Amino acid sequence: MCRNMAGVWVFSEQRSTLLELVGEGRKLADRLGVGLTALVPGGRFDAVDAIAFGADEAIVLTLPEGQPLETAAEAVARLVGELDPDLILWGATLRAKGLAARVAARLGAALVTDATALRVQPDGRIETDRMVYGGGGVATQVALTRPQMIAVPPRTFAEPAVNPRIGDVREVVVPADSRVKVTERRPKSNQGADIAAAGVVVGVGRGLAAAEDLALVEALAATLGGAVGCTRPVAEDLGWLPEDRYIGISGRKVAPKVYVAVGLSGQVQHLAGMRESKVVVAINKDENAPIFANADYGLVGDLYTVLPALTDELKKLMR
Amino acid sequence: MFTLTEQQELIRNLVREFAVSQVAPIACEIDDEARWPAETIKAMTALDLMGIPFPEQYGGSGGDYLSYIITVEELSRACASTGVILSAHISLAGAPIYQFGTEAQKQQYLPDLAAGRKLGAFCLTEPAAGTDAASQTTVAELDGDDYVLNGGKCFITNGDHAETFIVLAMTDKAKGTKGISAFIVEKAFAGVSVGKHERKMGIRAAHTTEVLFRNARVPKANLLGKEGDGFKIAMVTLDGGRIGIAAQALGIAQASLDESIKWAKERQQFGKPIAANQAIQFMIADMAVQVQAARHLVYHAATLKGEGKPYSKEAAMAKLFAAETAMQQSIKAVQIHGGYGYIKGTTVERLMRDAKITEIYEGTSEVQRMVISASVLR
Amino acid sequence: MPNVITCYKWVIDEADIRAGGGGALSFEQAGRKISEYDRNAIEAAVQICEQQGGSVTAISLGGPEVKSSAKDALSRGPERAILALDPAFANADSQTTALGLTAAVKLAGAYDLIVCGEGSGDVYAQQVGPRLAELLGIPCITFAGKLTVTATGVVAERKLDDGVEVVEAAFPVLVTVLPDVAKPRIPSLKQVMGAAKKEVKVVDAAALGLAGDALAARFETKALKAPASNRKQVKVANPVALAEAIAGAVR
Repeated sequence: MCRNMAGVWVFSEQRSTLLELVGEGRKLADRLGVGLTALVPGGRFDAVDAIAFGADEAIVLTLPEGQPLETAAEAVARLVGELDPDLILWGATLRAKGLAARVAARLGAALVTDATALRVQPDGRIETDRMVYGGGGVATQVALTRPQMIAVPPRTFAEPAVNPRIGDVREVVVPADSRVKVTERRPKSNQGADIAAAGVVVGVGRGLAAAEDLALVEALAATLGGAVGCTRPVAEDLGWLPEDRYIGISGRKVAPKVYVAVGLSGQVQHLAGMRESKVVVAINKDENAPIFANADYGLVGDLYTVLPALTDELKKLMR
Repeated sequence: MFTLTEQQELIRNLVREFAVSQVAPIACEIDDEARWPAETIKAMTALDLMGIPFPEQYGGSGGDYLSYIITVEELSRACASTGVILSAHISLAGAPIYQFGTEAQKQQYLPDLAAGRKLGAFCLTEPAAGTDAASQTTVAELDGDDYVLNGGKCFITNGDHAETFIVLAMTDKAKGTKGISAFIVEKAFAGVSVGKHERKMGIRAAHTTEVLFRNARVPKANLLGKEGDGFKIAMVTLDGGRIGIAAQALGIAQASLDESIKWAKERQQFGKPIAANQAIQFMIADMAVQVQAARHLVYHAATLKGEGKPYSKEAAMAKLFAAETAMQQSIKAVQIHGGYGYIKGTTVERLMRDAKITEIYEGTSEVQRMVISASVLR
Repeated sequence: MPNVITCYKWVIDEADIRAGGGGALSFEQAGRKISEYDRNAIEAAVQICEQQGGSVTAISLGGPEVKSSAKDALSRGPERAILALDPAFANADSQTTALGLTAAVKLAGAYDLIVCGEGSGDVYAQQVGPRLAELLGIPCITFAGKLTVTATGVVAERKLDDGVEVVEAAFPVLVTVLPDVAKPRIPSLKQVMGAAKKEVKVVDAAALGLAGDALAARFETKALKAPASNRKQVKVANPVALAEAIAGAVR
């Protein structure tokens, strides 16, 4: 392998996220004239996939049984030290963000978490945008350390087309850390669709008076083939929806084709979670609610009268 | 002039956090239902707010007087009913025991009050004796080891929930004000009862009742000060109470300004927020000046009292100015809100009703002017 | 009886930030506060020691203005505070912060557990906890929604993208916590007053042995602006018109 092959690295423990990063990483690598390496935790999915979608090579990190993913920090840092990549893109899941931070600490490197935009500069460095101050600000930064490390949320990039090529897959065995032990894993119970993957998301806020009234929101979402999300208080304080449904700076980030905001005012913390939606629609009885300034289409009205009429009308239109 | 200490800022923050999260959300509701905020008082007890200015040896929090005043201000900013419940409890019941009580009386009564186990109230006003305290008709006659009280008090804040009353009664009618004495009276004493509940225009969650004495036997040991000290005790107590009410008024005035700013920025008319109009801008500027001026007067009076300096005139000035400020700013706040401000259940409508009482109780604005003029013309 | 360290950040109150001309952010009148997530961490640490004994040390790092955070932090229950204050620490990035905290933790003496918030309320990079653990060479458990302390270590339930992962680790260990772990109390007046009597140790970068590369910028910040809204902001009159707009966008 030539030295260039270490150019751009991508890492994710999720198949779909890895492939998104492979797609974007391929473009960046071509632009920078370097190779693309996929780092893949073993046993999760076939590393060959990464090559089939555009990576030049894959490194499989074989993790010891009963250990969290982050145990790989030391091994990954050593690989980075040996192979000296220019750029590492991390899929910004909670696990991978922790791993990336620990690798960065070992390398003394900067790490951009949850970048919302990447722009290649003439000198080959990547300029990034990310939300700060609870969604009240956007910081545009360029990391000055090497390698550049950027964690990008899942679904930031489109899934690439198959781009078959031939490449090596090699294995790196991660040693166990005897101080830490995973004793149990409880997969998320599949309560309804994953909001981050839905093409339409109906988000509901405190304008809803009672948990029973969620039926109105669910009816609208069902008509549109979409999922129901909510603001933080609806999930955390009221417990009307599971916590994986709340959208915001510290919750899920969604970027559907259409986001329908129902009875939510549009706090910056919430906006930060749905800002990347293609089209935003807002229904609120308070004409002054900030959500209207952040929506493409707005209707001032009581959700209890608007939603049934809207759902009926959409049933006709969507037939 | 007033830079709060770090500690005072932190106390303000803790009270504000409590007021915003637990007092403000129910303010309209308890006003509407005239519901006693029992849960709020329990929470205030847990936060050590019921005995702020009393020393720890009497179960108090050992706080400074200005911190207590800031507490009443911040509570009243969220709910003026809650503010006056605390002000009456501390300034009118705990304070006279602390200031005029014997060591035994302080040991017996202050710890329960300061820790919030018991609530206090102050019984001076009678149907025919408001500002004119000398017209008291409640009498106390010595009979063996007890005084026997007969008569009735009205407009008593905390009247129904208090268990410890400071009661003013005539021990010697012939001596006029010099014949008035003060007593510590427990609700549990035989012959003490709560009379009519008043239905009020504002501060509706703070209960105001009659307190009646029918052959109520009060041990001699519960005489506060000496026989005949009652009028002096009442006047000194009201001097202090005025700073508490001034703080309540300041909280109402600040809330009127807060609500006005929020509304002026949000409310759109003719495609722009009404805050873009100079008429609104100037109104809000004037409100901000008035509120700040009131705050300086109130904090100054509180600081004097805290330092043990004379404060009677300054307390009257603070109470007069803050009360009139609260009234004027709440009226402006309703005006800025337009029709919405006139609707039941909006905050500014409640503020305007709550503000009015601050110009009346613990000495009307006219009485404050009497106190001030008597002092400056002396 | 665990010795617990909790780290907190004294952040700009985001509610006070104003967007000026061209979307520039103005911090002129902004107050400061203990980052919300760190309040959960402090509370978690304090609850552990209330139940099991031991003591809590609070550590913060930042510019000289962080000095005024000590009483606030101490009123929430920790017994003492260590403040790493230096003009060079103002706007410190995650690595500088972690390097400074590493040195400050060593000043604190023997410890069993470090509790940090999941991320700071301002930058929310979610890095200082794991970086600190890595630099100290101790295990790290991130995003704990539940935390149980045993005689020799911790059991934590991590709430992750794909479900719950229960992790055990031996002391000394660092845990970053989610808000669910402990709801912060409002400190009482006596706690606020008691905070003034607690020990606060102040150290600067030099005393922590930080200089040169440790303090050098790792980022060039090119802009800091309010997020721009480029939405159409069309007001529609009724549900029928709204349905048409939605149907058009879905197709």
